[in-house]
Amino acid sequence: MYFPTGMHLAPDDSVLFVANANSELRYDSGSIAVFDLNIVDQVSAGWTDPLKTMPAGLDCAQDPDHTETLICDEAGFIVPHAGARLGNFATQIAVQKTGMGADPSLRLIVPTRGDPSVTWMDWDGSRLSCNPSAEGYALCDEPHRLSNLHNDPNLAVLPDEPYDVFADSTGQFAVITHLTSGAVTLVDSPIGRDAVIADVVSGLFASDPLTGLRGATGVAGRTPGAAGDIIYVGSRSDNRIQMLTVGVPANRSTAEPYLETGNFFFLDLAGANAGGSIDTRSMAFSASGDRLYLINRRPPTLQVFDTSLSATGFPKNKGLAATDICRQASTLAVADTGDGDRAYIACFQDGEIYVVDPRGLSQVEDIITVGRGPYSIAAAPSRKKLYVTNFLEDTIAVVDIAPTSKTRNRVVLRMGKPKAP
Amino acid sequence: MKYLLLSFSILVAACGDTTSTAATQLNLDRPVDIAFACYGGLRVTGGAAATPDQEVTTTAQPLEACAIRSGAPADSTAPVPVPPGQEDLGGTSTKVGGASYYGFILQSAQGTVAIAQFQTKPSTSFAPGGEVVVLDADPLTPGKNGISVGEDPIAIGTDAVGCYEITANAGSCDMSSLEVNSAVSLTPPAKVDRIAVTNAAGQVIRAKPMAMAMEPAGGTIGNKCPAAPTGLAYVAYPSCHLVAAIDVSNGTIVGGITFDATGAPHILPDGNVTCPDECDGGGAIVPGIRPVTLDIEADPNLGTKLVIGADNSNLLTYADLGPLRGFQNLPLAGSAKTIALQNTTGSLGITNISLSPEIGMGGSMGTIDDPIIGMSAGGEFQFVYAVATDNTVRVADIFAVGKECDTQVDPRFLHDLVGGSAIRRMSCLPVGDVNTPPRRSGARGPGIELIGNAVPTSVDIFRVDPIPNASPAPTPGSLIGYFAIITAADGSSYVVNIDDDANADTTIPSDPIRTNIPLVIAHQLRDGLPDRGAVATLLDANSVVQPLCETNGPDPDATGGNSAGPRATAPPTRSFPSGNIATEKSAELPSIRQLACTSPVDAPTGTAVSELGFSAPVAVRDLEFPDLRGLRSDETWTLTWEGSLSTDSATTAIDGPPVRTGQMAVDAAGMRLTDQTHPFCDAGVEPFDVVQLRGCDPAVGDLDCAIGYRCYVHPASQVTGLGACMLTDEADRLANACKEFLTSIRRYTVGTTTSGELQLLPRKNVLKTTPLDGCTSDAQCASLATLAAKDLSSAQPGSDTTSADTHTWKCAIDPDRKPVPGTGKRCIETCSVDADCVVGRVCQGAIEGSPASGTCMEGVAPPQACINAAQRFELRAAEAFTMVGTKSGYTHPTIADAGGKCVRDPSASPFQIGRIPLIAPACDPTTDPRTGQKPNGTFDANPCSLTVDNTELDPAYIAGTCTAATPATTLVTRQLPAIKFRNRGMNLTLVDPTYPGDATCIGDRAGGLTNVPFVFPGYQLSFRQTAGFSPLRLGISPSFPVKVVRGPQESIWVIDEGDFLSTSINSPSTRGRVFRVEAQSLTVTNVAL
Repeated sequence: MYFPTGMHLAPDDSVLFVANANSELRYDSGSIAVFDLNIVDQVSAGWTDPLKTMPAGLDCAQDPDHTETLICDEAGFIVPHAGARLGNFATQIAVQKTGMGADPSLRLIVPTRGDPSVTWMDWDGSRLSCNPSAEGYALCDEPHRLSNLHNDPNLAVLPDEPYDVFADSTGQFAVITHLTSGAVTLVDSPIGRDAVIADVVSGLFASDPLTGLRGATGVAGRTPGAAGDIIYVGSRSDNRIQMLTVGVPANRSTAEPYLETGNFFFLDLAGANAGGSIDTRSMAFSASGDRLYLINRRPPTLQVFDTSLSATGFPKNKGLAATDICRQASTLAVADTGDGDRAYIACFQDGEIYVVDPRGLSQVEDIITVGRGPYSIAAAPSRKKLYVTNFLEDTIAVVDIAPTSKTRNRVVLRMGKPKAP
Repeated sequence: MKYLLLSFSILVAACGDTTSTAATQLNLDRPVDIAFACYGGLRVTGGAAATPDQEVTTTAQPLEACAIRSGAPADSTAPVPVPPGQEDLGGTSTKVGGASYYGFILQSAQGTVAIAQFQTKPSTSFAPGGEVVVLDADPLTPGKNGISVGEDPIAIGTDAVGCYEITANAGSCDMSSLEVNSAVSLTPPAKVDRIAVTNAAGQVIRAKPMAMAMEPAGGTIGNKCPAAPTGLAYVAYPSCHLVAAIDVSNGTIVGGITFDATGAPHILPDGNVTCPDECDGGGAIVPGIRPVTLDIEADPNLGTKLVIGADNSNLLTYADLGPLRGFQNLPLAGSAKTIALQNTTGSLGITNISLSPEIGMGGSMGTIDDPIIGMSAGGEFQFVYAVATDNTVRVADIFAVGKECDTQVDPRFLHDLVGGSAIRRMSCLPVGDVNTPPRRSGARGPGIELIGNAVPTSVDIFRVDPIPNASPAPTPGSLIGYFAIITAADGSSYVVNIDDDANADTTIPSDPIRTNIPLVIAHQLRDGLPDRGAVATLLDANSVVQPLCETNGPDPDATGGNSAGPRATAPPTRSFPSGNIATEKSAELPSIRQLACTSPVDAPTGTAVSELGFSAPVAVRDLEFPDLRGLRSDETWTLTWEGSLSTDSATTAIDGPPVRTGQMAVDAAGMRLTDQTHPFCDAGVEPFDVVQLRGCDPAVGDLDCAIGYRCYVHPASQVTGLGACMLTDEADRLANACKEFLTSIRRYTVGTTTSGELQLLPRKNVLKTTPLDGCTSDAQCASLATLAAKDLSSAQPGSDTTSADTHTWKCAIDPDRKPVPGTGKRCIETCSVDADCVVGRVCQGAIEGSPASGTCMEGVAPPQACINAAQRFELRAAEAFTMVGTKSGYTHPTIADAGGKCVRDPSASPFQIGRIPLIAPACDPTTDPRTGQKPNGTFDANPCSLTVDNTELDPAYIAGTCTAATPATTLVTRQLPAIKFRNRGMNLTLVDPTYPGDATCIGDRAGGLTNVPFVFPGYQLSFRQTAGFSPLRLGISPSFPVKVVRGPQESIWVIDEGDFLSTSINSPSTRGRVFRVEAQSLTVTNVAL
């Protein structure tokens, strides 16, 4: 691993896709590594067993500072030759299910800041492919690297600084936000066909009065499994949450889908006395779509919104609760492992994960020290595990989130040996 | 060289700026709670009489000792009060030193307690700033430090005798005790002991606490501190569905309340409980009631009670802790009782709770009359205030009524209640009671709502005694009685009237503006505007009160702030798009009723004043603004004919953007408009409303279109600024096929409505002057068309030479518009070719050789290929004014039924409307003019039509001419047809929905027309309404207040957990603050940070 940033679980929680941003440009490209979560579970289960079983065949040792944690070289967990290589400075990963039923086929959509571009690659259950060859650890070719509108080099290039991405399997699209322009990009990703940059909208968000910058940041879909999913987009520079939908024209065979702007609402739940409520960094919905969780850097809060449908059939979009959290929060994941939703917030600056119980008025339930520079979080409720990329130390922390576990909310396994600061 | 010198001088100027900003020492890190202790000199009397030989020491002591020392001396020469036994005995006896209050501030994330100090003195002696000082618990470590007490402590409280601070620790599932003496003196170092919580069998309970309330303070002044904490702590364990009474001396659970699987509470006579181990794993967490908030109140008359709220239950639980018995343990007595709060959300819970003492309701003389039961005008109550998950604060009474109180009853129905029985009734209007009147329109439920979308975070109740020897100031910030403070996540802290003993308790008929119901009854946010009762009068030189007519009331934008009652800041103004009517004839259009006003001071011959104006008679103002709380503090209202249903702008999000984006489809089933966000019922669309397709604006190029589309304007289009997004490579090819669509103004009638889809109907062009009861003939239509055309002329009707209208009109039924009464027919424009039609209309259905056989259409059904792009559209009401507030938006009663169809909410308030049509059912004269309720209990139609007196200044002409006379106007009061309209906070009357026309001169009303409207789309009446409800907020600015706590002398303490990220060199970024506000003087605030 080398500067791991975004990650995403396969929908069946079988594997974890991790983006290596290659932020120091030491290697010739960034990459996507694929982690086998069965092995991760086996190792962590053995380690958290009262006998503290050390895994055979893996290079592991007890963390001298956090004795409940086992540190292992990541190689033992990575599926050999399953990854792929792409541009530098990958930010996040979105996963689109492309196989029907038990077919494990997936498509990964990965924004990369270096070019800027969006890379897409397909997963067949055993390896990622993004070029015509059958070799493992493929270097993604140009058709898999989207950098112009409609993939037409004569049209405008993708806006700078792609930041976050959300993929909708049912709608077969992905939406990408841009940190420095406030633009939102639609990637059309039909099953069995190449992905294409279909539309870009801008001007959704006001600019920061101090810096003049506009920024679109967190993005999430309310009901990804249903048709007509509503996409919510947050901003770095504005206290606005914009709703978008994807329109598919009747002449779909000759025209691309487009983004339709819907209502917006303002983050007036907290921050009126703290300079407003802006710089939304990440958003996630509850499984039902009835709750929106988002993290703001200003003021540093987790905010909970009621997005259930009102009597009129339209989402309520009303603030329910807020919780003071760490400064410089980066991303957010939500999981219910049997004791209600919990919001897990990566605190990049503090090397911690804040665990927030959003019930009632919402409050911090625990603070987990995970490593340096936690960037992205993925939660696997079926495995009762939380995975955290530690950008500054090249590791992935595996956190036990089983409600009744003795090691609940503790890092039980660290994949990768922490790089020296 | 000159440039160099200039540069140097600038440099010198920059360096010469010696202004320095002192570094602010930050001490607190995300505080969440506070508890108080008293520490200082004490003669150890053991409660006996003082003697010179008794030991005098410095120690923690009961809070009562500091409370006595904080009392005001009898006069300026009298000594500061001291507790009995602590007096200066004179002679050689040792003097007892003074004592101070200490605040122990819990910092959850750090697991520490910070200590703040403030003096014992009367509340009135506190000054703004500098009175609360944060101490350093570890002088040997840089900075100011707190004392570590445990992992993730969630609450702190003082033990029964004031010698220990107790924390409940969620991170370690235990408790801690902090010895006050060591914490304050630091000699020896602060002593912190962990307290394992154990059940009756001695097993350790490892559940995570969520809330804690301590047994009421007691203790004997003169006793030394014991070696261990004293008393009981009541601790809520949500996952164990338990509130445990824990002996803090040893951590043993001695009783409590547990909730069974049905949610019913049961008193535990002992500590025989088990809980899942949440800190070390073990035991499954089973679903059940999750108690998360507690409060205890010791009342001298009603005893000591514990109240409990759970975040997943609408049951408010309370139990009697028995009579107050000093510092002795208070085992739970009797049985736990519950009050079910109305479950408006289906999943209502309680997140914070506060219990009042016994309150004698009523009284307006500036004194508090609670101690004697039966002496208060409204009787005695004991209220629970509960922050609920519907973002309201619920109120229940557990003494007199035993039910939840409805705080949202529409004041219209309470206006006429007077007397002691009314005070008692209005102190708690039981939710669901048959005698409780309906709620105000738009209320979310029975609870107190904050302003806008504010989310309440905590509540506490305060008793504010009058300041001795001072007359109560008649200002909103002057409090006497009982009040609640509610903190909100947005940083506001609201004041709620519970029993305002310096104001009226019912509406006073002779002074209804000042005593508007929301200002005087219990459980209402306190208003913050002064001089609410101001009326348009003047005291003349003879000290006689004279009315004023030419006044709009106090300047709402005055530097000193707004004041007085709700009103329009100026007479409503008319505006309209050009090309519809000559300005001189605008009096033909509907307007808001005016009244005659005569004043010897400023209108001796009389004038006309708006019924919404400040100078309207008091009785009229009282009727027109029946619910102050139903009015926003200040907003502009517009009544727009066929106006937009949505109000959002770039900076406001109220009811959706005026221009939305969706998709259109045309097939055998017809024409449909879909929006995947399902906004249509939410927007209040009704059948026959108007959908205006907005295409794209060619002035901005292709920016309104998606990538790959261009903004195409058909060469034949005469509609300005209306293009259509079409695929770049298809636009020219489709130009002919789409011509009719592209050259029309693209206005459609709404057929069926569902939340996500509207059926669109092609829309015929109808004459705006079609009579409201339908036309009778084509000839009449032609005549009315000419009348409409003449309206554009400024000429006097008698000499108007405007040509007759050249278009052809047919009097026929239009099935695609709302049915009209009478003949049922409308004047519809007919044609042979497009050129026959008004601009923007296209001719459809014309049969060659058959003149005027076609119909002029505002919108047609296009081929699908013309509308494949995303469609921008606007939703507009049809044949009605939309009444829209810049903050309130457009109000409507539409919801979606189970099938998604837009229907009227059968439970909606009759005042939840925002449309004013020109045709309405006749008003029932027996209806109560304030409530709109008929004698049989049903409600009159809203809006309804009637005839009213209206006063206006008509143009005056020299007899027999249309030449302006001198003076140019004459005051006329005449009976006019009108539409009466009532919404949540305002009633108004629209006059002249139709106009008889003029015969000779403009304004002579001698045209003889019946039921002919002159209004047209875009005509707008607007006025600024000011001095609506303006809540009183504490003058502090916390970032994220999480708790409000009642402190010594009823001081208000607001705990601010939030970060403040400063962007100014003059203010530091903070990680939490604690504010102290003097309840007797809300402007006196102190902050610890």
